[in-house]
Amino acid sequence: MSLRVRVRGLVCLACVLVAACSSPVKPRPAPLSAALDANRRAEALLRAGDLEGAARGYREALRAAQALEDADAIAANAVNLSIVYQRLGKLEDARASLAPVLEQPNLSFPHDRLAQASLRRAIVDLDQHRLASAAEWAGRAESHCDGSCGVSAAIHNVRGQIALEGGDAGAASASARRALEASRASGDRAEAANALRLLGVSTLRAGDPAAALAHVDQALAIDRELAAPRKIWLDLVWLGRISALRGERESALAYYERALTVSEAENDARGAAEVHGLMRGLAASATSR
Amino acid sequence: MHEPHVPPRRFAGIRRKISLFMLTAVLGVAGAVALVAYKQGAFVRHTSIYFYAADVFGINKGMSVRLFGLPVGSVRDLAIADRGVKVELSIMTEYVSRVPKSSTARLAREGYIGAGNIQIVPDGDPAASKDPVREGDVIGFVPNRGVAEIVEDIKVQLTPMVNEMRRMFAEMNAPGSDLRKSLQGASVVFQQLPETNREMREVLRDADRAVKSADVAMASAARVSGQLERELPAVTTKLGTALDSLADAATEIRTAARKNGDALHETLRDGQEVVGAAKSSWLIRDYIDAPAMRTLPVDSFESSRAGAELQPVKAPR
Repeated sequence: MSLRVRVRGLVCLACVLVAACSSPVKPRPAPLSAALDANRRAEALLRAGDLEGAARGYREALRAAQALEDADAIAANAVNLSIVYQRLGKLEDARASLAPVLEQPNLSFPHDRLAQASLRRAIVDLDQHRLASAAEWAGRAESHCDGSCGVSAAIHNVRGQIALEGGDAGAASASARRALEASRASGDRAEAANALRLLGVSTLRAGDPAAALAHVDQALAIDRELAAPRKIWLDLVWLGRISALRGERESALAYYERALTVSEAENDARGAAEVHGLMRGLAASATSR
Repeated sequence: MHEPHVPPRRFAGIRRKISLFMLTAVLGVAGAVALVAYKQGAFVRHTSIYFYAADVFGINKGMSVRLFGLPVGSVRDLAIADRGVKVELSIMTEYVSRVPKSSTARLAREGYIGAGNIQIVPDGDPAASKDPVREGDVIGFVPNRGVAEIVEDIKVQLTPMVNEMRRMFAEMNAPGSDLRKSLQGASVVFQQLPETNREMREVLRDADRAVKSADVAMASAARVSGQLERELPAVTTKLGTALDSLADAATEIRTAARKNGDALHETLRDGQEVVGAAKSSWLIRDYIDAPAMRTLPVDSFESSRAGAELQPVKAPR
């Protein structure tokens, strides 16, 4: 038996062994496949800026997941749908879309998903200035999180925003610091930037604009690395406001103009309108002096 | 000695004859009077209704009263009363049911110079009373507009027109007006017309020459066309053969492509199955993520337009 024949025999044997190790392919059930397809499609639409299309996709994915009683898929799509609705400004729809998770006692959802959904509910309530309800849902998210989970930094940040809205700059600052620690521990840079921004705003409220400027500047640096235009806009607006409060009118105007450019590039009419309002306010204050 | 008067024989029975003649005459006159009275409506029952007018210029006794243009009675009496002049209308009773209480009377004329008459106009308002008039009822009277009022009305309507015409004439008479300019322009154009006419004739002559040249060219083209007509069948036959060959080639290509496509499809399907089997083997499956739902990152500042909303921030002291 020649060497060539032996080698061929070994290769054939290896192939047979590999084939024997394979398990039968389990085809995905059709509805779950449909849910996955809709989920991916909605994500692509969201990236393309088509919020209505994304909402349609996530609704379809949620329906398909509910048809299979797939708790994880239901929770994932409900959370996604609430995010898209909130970006559309449909806050009631955002709240209602979380009901399949938060008001469904017959299905067992993973704790992480429950924490995400509860946190989303708190964020929606915060957006509507329902501070008590937001605090309650943030507490529930924390209880589901049980000390540490993927959204613990976000929970601290939301608590900080609630405190800030309630006028408690000290509590807001403390929450922001906790969020910063948690985000650094988990490597969540987006929440780290959020925590720094929150820290800056609460520091400003406490009367230290120089420190506030430094914090928000760090947040801006992270957000630029993460390429998050909405956050960059937010950081620039806050930097402008802090500069204006420090009496640095030229600097404030420069920040506002940068924020305006970002919002116009993102086709964010609402953001552009807010910046225009701030610029008018700045001009009016200069005239009154 | 007088002899007793003996009436002549020819007058025998004259008294009776005269009496018969007189009776016939009286009956004839009475019949004529009755006929005239009948014709005048003396034997028709009438109902009197009234209206009051400030004045009765143009209204006379015996004037015809009309309803929808039909004569239905006449003016019987005119008398001065506290409310002006009380006019009595005698309406034939058979028409009274057609005259509701809400009717009005007005003086009308048949045409502009015809005889005057009184028209009874039933009220068109459906809510008005539909009960017919009765003996002694008073209806309303709509006086006609006087000549002075009509003239005033016409004057009011004509005044703006006259003013506008005056303004137009004033503008037309102005030295720099558009009309004058237009007329001057038209005059210049008319002066230039002979020249234009001459040029137009030249153009027509040139066009005539061009058409003659085109005729020559068309004749040449006709000769070429005839030649083509003779040679075209042969060329067409050759072209048809070439096209048939091309069609055969296309059919063969399509058949081959279909075969290849089917084979490619089968190969792809086999490939998918091979890849699926490979993905499920223990060597590879640990390195491939199972397909799962993707969740968007839950961002704590999702609401934070709120963070930048224009909440008042006090300047630090």
